[in-house]
Amino acid sequence: MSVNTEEELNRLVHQAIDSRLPGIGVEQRVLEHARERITREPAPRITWMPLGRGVGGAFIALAVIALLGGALGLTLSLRNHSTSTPAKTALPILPTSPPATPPVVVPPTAAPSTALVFTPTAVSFATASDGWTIGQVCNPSTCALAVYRTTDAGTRWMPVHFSAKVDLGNATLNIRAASSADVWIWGASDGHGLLVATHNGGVSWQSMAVGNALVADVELAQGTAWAVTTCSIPKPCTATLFSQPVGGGAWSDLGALPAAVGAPIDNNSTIPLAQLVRIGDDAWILDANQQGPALVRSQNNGRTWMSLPLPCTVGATAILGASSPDHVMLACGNEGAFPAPQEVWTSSDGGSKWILRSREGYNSGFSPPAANVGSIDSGGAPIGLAVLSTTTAWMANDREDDLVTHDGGVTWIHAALPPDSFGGGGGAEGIGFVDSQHGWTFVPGGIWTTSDGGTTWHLLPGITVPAA
Amino acid sequence: MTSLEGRSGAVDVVPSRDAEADAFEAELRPLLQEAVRLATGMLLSAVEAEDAVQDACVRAWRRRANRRQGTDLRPWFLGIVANQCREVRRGRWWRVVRSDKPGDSSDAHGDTSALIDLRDAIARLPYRRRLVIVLRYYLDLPFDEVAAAADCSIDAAKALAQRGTADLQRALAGEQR
Repeated sequence: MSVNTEEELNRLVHQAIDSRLPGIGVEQRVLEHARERITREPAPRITWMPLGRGVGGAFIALAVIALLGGALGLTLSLRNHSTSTPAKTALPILPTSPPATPPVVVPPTAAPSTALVFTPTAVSFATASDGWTIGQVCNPSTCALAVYRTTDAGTRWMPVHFSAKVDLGNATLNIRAASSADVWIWGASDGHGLLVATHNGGVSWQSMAVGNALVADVELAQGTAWAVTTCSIPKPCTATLFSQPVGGGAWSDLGALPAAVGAPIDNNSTIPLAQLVRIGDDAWILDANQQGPALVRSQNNGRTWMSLPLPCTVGATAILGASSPDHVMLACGNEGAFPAPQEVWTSSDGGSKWILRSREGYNSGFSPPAANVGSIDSGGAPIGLAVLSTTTAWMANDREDDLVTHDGGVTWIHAALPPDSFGGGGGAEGIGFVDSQHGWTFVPGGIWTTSDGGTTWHLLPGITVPAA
Repeated sequence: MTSLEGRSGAVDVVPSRDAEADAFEAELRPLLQEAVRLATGMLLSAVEAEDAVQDACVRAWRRRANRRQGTDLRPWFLGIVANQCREVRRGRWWRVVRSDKPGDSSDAHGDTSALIDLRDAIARLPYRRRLVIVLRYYLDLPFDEVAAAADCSIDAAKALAQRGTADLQRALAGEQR
């Protein structure tokens, strides 16, 4: 097929996209669900004024922020969201003075007007102090990929030279840090797989050729980094597991993935969607590349694999976490209507048998009510899961606060981070912990860390780049 | 003084949150069809488009104070929808690519292979080129409105459209990029 005129292009583009349009009534659904979300939001304690129209209020707010936040950022405590029904009674008059207690709203990043702000798209800490982030710096016309690292828990970030060619408009990148020196960056850019590593703090990078494959995940355990690849229908390949010593060295091919998790991406996607979880010699691969997700486990460092049952509804978002070879947690959700149907399951035998712990919105094919099953007041779909023990786990959601459970997944409490800090839709981009006390979560607007197990979170200073 | 007061002039009493939301909803409603079309063109998925527009509505509500007084809501809101679509693509990392309905596949819509190829080529366009192509050739906007929604100059919008068109022509002619 060729397109020779603007009129022809116009006609074909209409035909190509029209068949993908949502059905009748979508506008009303969108409004109803958006309205419900707006109504559920707490009324703003401090409202930020546009520059020039609210200078006084902004100063008051800044003073409060400064008093509460300290030099490195804000400290917010956990709050329990007990309201599952939207509050229909609105405040007749919005407060004009700051509240006496947190939570408070975070001010926009106070970057100098000549500076460009770095937006993280992935973050990984190896220790409480050694962390890396990859993201982009944009001016009004273009965006550039950027990598930074910190060795002082995020007080200062140092730019790292990273020269891989990436099409930012069509890239899905992630990062995993093993130390201040050893880091892996992987993903897909414009339909091509990317897997690069540095073992000298970013002074130099080595690239691993993965052929037609896309790189879905990298995980560390037992002194090795494993990379799991996946394939797409337009570019057939064999989904494979690769291994490299954490300190550097040659990559070795651990062989093809089990068929259950080796199918190519469908639905015209070129975004790799498989998750690797490792605890000692145990490893799980959760394949989300298929319409029907699959889960496999190895108990002998990847030599053999066995298929495990997945209790989630077919087609659901799914994410896996483990705190030991036995204790595994699975969070599933369906994107779509608000609140998104969501479930949390746990297993005490590594994933052979699952117990439903909590859920939300079980009217879309999820299980009916049952005893001893808690409720998740989220509205979002899970996109990050950090399982710290049999009782404690953190979950990042695409539309709402981060959640934490201290009773094995039955009860979930919201972390008190300001709603609009969590991206446009209200959700975090990811979450992780290096131990039971030190963790991070991030949004396009910044990176938050905790050093007390999530009781308080601190917004790290923004990373800014002088404008050219 | 609150943001709403700032937008509506110097008044002492702020309307209730419900009333403000009603007014905001009424302002947004006429733009939703166009917003859904933009999101569908950007994401090529009905489910994700609906999600993105819903999220964009919430984002617009939260940032309503940032809108300059007297400016047109349309390019401002379409810009938010476009940004939301960009974040959806980034946030897909751990998400299953969910089918719109069971058994959904590229040819389930009855499209010809040529249209499937074109859709695939649109999906592979870099973000800004795809945005301009969708705004120009799917929403049929004039270049000044394309530029406003894409937050760039008219010349830049024309250049992006030209490059995007060339990309599509190359892809459809079977050339590998």
